Amino acid sequence: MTEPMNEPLNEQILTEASAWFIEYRSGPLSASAHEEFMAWLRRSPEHIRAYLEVSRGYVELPASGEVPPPEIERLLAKARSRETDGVVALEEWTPRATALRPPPQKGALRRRLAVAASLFLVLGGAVGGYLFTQRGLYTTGPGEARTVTLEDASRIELNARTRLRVRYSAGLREVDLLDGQALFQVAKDHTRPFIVHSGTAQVRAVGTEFDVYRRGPDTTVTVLEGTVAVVGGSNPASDSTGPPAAANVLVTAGEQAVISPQGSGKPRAANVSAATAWTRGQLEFEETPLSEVADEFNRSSTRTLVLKSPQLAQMRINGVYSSVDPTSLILFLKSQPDLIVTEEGNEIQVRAH
Amino acid sequence: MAAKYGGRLRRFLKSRLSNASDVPDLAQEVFLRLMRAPNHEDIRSPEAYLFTVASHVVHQHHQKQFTAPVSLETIEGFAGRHLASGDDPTARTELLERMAHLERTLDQLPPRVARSLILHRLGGHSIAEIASDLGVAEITVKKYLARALLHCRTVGEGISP
Repeated sequence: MTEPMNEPLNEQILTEASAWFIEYRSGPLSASAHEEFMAWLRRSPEHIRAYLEVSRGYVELPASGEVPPPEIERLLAKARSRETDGVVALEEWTPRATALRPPPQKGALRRRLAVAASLFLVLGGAVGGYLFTQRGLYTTGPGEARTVTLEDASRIELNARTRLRVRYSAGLREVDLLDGQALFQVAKDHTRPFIVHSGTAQVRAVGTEFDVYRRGPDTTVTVLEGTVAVVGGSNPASDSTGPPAAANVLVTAGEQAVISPQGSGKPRAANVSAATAWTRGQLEFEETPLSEVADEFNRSSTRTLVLKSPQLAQMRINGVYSSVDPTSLILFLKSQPDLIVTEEGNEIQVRAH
Repeated sequence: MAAKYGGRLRRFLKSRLSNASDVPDLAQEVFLRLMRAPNHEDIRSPEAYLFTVASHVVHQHHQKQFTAPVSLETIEGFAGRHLASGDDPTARTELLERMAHLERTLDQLPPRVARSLILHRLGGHSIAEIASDLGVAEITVKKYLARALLHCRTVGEGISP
């Protein structure tokens, strides 16, 4: 805890870190350059800190593709005008040896930017057209995550292996969760209720944030902010065209309710962090049965975790694992003395000793 | 090419090192692991290796009860998970803030240093292309960019979380 993370870094080391960082952005480096850099990194923790800080400074800058070409052109023109006006004369930054050289092909990059600008518009139109033909259907595959922003600025974050359909009309905003899990951030609009249909459950919200997880016949609703009204029952999502007649259960922030075809469970205090760990690329388990852990794993991985010994289903698992890199969980299971883990093709088989 | 790599790098660092600042001895721990690395001369890209090790240290710091072993992966392995959609309002607000910060930085830099940074990072142009546009040697462009990078860090202090 005494690590001087907030003390200013040595200016010399920072300068070297920046130079190395630019070398790495300049193209492939030779083996000897890699070696030299490794030696530089191994000089002190200070060198490592400097390099990480410089890297972070760089990635915070807007990147190509993020900024429309006219904006790039404006910034370039601004810098150029300072150069010719002589408003800021910083001659020490113009090395004498090269300043005299005639600038060849001036404006060549500018023309290319103009071409890029027109491409930007063409591509924008094509993407819009593609989404339109999908008619509000959004899907994700194994290990994939996706965020969708809707016309009213509501946001839906889809977990892996999820399918949902968005149906907006004049008086109603409806989403069918066909499979999987999603986090909803609903924009406030009292004239247009927002309703999520998941199996036999209907979740109704106005302006709030909540997670809906459809697993087999059950739906788990976790509320992060505000309140939602949950209606259980037996009418499936497909034939519900209007808003639900009455609210059965109110679930408020920090609570969770499970809705099965038999009806809605009472809302109880939820581990919101665990329920939404997937949005941070994590799988979070707290006394979770291994069978459920396997389900979660199989969702985020293209390989399948299979429990070969029935008694293992109830084994409890704790911890936080990366869902982006499911091998962390496999390695954890392999390190358990009671378990035998074997890999056969696409299957990861777990047995009790 | 440099810019494409830059975008992936950004996503990688954002997702893996976003809460690095609350790991107090991150640099120390990464340093120790680098010193312990067997056959470090076989490491194909020490930079990718550095980011991977750092991300594991951050990851493990945030694990509460277990220190599960984590396999090594390259930058490419993590990238592309979060596909930023262009119509995401949060990302747009964040981008506007980053743009404003960039413009403040550019205004304080010598004009040619500023132009180099714009062409490289925003325009995605190679060092050679920028050198020919500015009419200077490639090594000069590298110096400009390194200088700009140092300055970004200074201006960024106290602004970005």
